Amino acid sequence: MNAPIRTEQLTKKFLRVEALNGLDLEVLDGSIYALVGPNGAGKTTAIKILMNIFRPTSGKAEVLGTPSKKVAGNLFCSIGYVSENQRLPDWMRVDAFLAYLRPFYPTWDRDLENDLVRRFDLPRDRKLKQLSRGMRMKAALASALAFRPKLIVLDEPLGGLDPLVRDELIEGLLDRAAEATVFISSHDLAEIESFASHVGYLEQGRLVFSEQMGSLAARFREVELTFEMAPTLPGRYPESWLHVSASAAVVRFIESRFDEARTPSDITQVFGAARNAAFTPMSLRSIFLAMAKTRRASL
Amino acid sequence: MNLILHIFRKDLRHHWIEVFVSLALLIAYSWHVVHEWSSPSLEFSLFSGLWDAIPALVPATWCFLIIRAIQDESLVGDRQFWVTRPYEWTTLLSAKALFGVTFINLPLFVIDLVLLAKAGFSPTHYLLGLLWMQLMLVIIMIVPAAAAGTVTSTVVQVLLSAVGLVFYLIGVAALTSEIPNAEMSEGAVAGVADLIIVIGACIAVVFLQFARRKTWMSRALILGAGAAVILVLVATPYGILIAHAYPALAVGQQPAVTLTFDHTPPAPHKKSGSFGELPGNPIIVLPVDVSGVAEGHVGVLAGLNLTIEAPDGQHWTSSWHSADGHFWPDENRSSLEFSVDRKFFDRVKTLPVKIHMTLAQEDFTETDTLQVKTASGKFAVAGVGICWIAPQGGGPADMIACHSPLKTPFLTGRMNPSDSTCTYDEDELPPQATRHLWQRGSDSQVGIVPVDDDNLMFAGSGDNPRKPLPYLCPGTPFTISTPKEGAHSRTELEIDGIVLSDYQWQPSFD
Repeated sequence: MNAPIRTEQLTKKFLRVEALNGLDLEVLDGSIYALVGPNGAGKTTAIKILMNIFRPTSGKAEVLGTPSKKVAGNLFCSIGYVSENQRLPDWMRVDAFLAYLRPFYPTWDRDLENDLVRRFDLPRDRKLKQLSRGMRMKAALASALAFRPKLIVLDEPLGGLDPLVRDELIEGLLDRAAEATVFISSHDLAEIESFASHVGYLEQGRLVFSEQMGSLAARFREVELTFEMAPTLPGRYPESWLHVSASAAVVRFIESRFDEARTPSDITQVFGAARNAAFTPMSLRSIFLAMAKTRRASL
Repeated sequence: MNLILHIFRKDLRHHWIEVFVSLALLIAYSWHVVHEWSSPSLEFSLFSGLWDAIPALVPATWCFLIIRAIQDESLVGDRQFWVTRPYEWTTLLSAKALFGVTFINLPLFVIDLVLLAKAGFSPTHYLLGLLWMQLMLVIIMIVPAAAAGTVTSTVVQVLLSAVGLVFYLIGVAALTSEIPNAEMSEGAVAGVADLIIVIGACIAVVFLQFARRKTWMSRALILGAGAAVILVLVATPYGILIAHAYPALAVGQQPAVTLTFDHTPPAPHKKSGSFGELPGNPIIVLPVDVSGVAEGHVGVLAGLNLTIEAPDGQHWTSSWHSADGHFWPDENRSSLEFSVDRKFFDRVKTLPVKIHMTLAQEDFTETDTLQVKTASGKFAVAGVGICWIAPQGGGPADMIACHSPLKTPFLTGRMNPSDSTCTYDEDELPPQATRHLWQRGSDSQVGIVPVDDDNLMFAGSGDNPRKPLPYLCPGTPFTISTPKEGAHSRTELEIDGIVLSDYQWQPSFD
């Protein structure tokens, strides 16, 4: 199976509100795919459709080769799902919670469970309702990893957690990532950047881009050009240039299709020769912000 | 099966307090029932009032229990952890059903076996009846409670839904009272249709929620069922159904009973000792002569409607109202009662009016007649149960109290005071007219206790209301029969020139 998650023209409407608009997505086997986007972009809706919590209005979605509408029952023996707003059985103690879930999974690994509990420093004798939010997330993640799922789906698991807990969660996740595909939605771009292999940017229900982290980082550059004197600004720029701004003899923009040979040539064609050109790699957060501002400006 | 038991054990761990309370209440109630059988308390006290509340509390705890168990894996919303776990809906539904059977049906079944044995009946003879009771419990109480549990996620939501249901039922009752003819036939036709609609919707909702979790669709289904009940109530052609159920007499067909108006002038109303005019519609009581009831039969007046015409052309027509008159072969006088619209009555009450009355009649044949002789203490009556002579209201008059297994039987009976073994002072001999028993019985047994309390009261005329005398003493014989329903018919009765105020019923305290 090459793509544990695949969607085609996936659309979801809540009355007149279009939460997803023709989403085409492919998550490759063994990848750690981060779905990012601003609030209300449709990330949680997409995940809930994949988990068959919501039904799509139109389009198709497949999870582990099964249409999302049929994702139920035993298929969840292969899927570990954790969401930040999931309701757990609060009245259960941590050990009772794990013990309760055990018989549902033929592949449940007691050693791995013990390892996760130890690693996450989970208090087995405490009720889930007595745990902090971070601890509850860790308990949920432990219960979603202990059966060695083929697909791990995480909906905003890192939001609002302190850095230490985030690190612990990510470490626990990465240990399992070698034998699973991970699909994660998050706002925490700095953390995502550190471990995601692929990233998709969703905005207003549309997938703006979806690619490998390496190629994304390679094609975005912050460009700063310094001229002898203030250049004449043309009315139009190449489409791949975002947020072009000029201040006296300095021009700045973001190149979204950086190429070591082509970009300098394009600059010369537009402005003439620059005294100095600096091409600075961008963080995922900067790319995310640049994309978001561009989309907002275009509306 | 392992997962069903696994979920079941989890539910028990979570809800053991509710289970304990429910079982404790059931055991306490059954203990109280048995205690009442051996030493009934007639006096009211706060404590007895609490006991009286238990029959309502026990089903309430059952409903609460099943709702809580279902809400443990809430079927409402999209944030429940279990939705993305390897639950099969059939497994989950089976686990909840097992929970209900184990902590509701099974304890009740065991308690019912014990109660039957305590009442003196062999429980093994009534296993099918007990299973029927369990089925009724599931259909009437557990399925609706389960449906409520599947479309709500909290107890608060359930309570709000219950409040809504109470308002709905009040509205339906008010509507029923406003629909002409509904009162007489509602239970027969619309009631069955309503039950099918409601229970069908509840079953559909339970399966829909467990299989698909379509909460809004399920809620709409329940609201739709509620609307359908009202639609059935409003659209049922009650008048046509009554006319069909009680056809006009065919040529040569005899009515079950012939009633003719007794023209004897009524006695003037006493001025003293009357409560005076009662609020609401006045009740008219017309004396009638009774004839035509064949030996071994009972004529029953199931309902009546009437038109009253005044000499000045004013008229008023009632809708069909149920009546509960039964007439015996040796009976020659009785009365017909009906209420009249207050405004119309006030306009015509002193005028000679004409009444056209349509009577819905049923003919019953007494079958399987059995001679019974009372005994001191308890005695068995075939087809009825275990009986004993009991004082009526603690006074000297008496009746036969019985415990019947599963349900109260439909019975008629006769008792001849001349056969009484009671002894009387010479100056206070009771009237010698034959006394009759008419006991409708219950169609099916629904409830907690599988033993019905029956009071076989032999009614007759001529009793001194101030000092009713006992008729039944050890050794007094009586007969009981099983009435077999025969032909239904519709007859007419014309009464001309009567003054309604002369026949207005006024309660008095003398």
